[in-house]
Amino acid sequence: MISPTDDFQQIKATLPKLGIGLGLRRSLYTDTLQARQHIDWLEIVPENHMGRGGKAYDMIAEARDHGFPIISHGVALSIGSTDALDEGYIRALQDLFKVAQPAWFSDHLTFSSYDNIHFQDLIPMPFTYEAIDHVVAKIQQLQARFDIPFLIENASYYCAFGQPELSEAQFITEVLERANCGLMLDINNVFVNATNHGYDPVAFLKQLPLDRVVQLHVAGHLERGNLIIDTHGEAIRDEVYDLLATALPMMDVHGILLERDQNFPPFDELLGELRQLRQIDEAATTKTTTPLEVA
Amino acid sequence: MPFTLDQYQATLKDLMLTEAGRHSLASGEALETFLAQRDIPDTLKAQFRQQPLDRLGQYQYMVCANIVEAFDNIFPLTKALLGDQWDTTVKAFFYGNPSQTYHFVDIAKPFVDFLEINPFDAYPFLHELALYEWIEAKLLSLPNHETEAQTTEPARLPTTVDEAQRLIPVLNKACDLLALEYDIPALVALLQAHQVLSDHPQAVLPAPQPVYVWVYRQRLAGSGPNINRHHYECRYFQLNPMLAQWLNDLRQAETATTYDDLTRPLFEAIATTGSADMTYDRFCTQLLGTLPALLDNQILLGSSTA
Repeated sequence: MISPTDDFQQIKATLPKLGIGLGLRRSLYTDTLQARQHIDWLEIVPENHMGRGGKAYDMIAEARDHGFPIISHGVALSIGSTDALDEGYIRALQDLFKVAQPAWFSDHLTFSSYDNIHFQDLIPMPFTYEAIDHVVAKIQQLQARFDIPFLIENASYYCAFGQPELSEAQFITEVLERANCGLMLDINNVFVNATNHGYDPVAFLKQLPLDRVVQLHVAGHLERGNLIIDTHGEAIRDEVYDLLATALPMMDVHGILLERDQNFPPFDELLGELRQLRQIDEAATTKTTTPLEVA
Repeated sequence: MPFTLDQYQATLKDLMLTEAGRHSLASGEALETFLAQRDIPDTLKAQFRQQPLDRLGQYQYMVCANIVEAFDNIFPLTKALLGDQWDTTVKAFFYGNPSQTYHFVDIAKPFVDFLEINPFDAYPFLHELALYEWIEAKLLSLPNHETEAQTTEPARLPTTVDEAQRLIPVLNKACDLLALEYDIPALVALLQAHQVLSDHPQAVLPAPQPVYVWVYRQRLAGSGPNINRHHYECRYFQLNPMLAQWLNDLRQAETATTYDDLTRPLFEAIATTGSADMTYDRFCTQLLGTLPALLDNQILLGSSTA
């Protein structure tokens, strides 16, 4: 159980350095297990496994047997919803963690249900103080139920509600600091949002409490008209690799994940992306700056 | 007056999930009509007006596309049969049936019910075809403990009435029984072979008798380098009405039930309909003779003792 008064940096210091990971997806499953030497760890979407049996359940135990550390990244916790936390969901997550044994878990700073109706997608929060109060309270309730740290992910969004009460960076920062949780920083989401809403992604990063970053997501996106869409269904763009290379020296990261959920290419192409992520990570390790230098 | 988080979420929910919301993004005027019908502060209405319609539409698109994609995978034959009508059918379901769960398999069952309530004249069997496809997705994701054998004496079957009174059948519980009006297994075979159904007019007529299909999940061992990795398959086993009744009674039994407990009521039902020359011993022995096929197919896992 993590309380609001715990020292998050002390907690973070106890977490393992996992390296470069890949999302565990059923259609990539066999290739993934066979590529153990190229993949340091795996991230699961818990909703694909919890409360379920058959292959969905066995995959977790088999991946553990192959020596993969597993991290859980949810999509249906709906932490931003005005609905109460779903007790059934929490219990199923706890049961899954007995098998998966993640060192931390995460979900999105969004809502995906309202009035117990589920949307099957991640809808952004308005950047308001009321929303902060609400999310902080729910994250604290959640953290009281688990012995591992919880990370919240910066979401991609196409419409911005709530401004000018708070900026996106102020909103995220307030949630992180008051809830005393970690940040799952999605580099692609930063790029997507910066492009769609016309701001400088590096300046945005510098406004965040980067000492709370535990894990990074890197993914591809799709251009659709005058929008770019966070699809997780394309190869990582060079601009996103560049942003990752710029961001990494600013923070102490415990895991970098290639997030690919659809439109899967030949597995060798994913391994190539993992190699590129590893090269960027290793290059950044040699020039990591301190938070003071960033400021 | 500023808007509340609840008002914001309720408005977005209706924008994404209702027919009114679906039509609200056709134009600025349509959005005004949608907003005018809502009891929300002007500040929130103003924020909606500020959003480009294509960006609001992205959310509508995403939530619906996720359902369509999930259903594409669960109902491949139903989708192929409906062709161009598939998307509009799923969307008609989507906008009238909000999801109570995040599990796609559970969302898909109300879609099967929707097809029953809204039948297609050209495909009167469509609901049963969709049910046949959905049951596979459901069984493949059932929790594992439901299939665990409770027997210490696996693969033993009674061969005499005396043994039938002492032994308890152990069922593979990842199962379901379909009682179908149409011969869906035959239809599925045709569709999987890419046959045109109009070339097989008999296949799309109701079957002369109900078609009973036992659907169950089979856990299969790996081989070679994957020897320790199991995989799962959904199997279909067509049954005569008697055996369907026997297995379904076993499936629904809440306490340990011997072979004899299951068989005797069936015999008594037959006895009242006039098969006077049939003795219970003969009836039971005949039924026991059908069980090895159930064992071979892992529908039954063996027996335990009372």
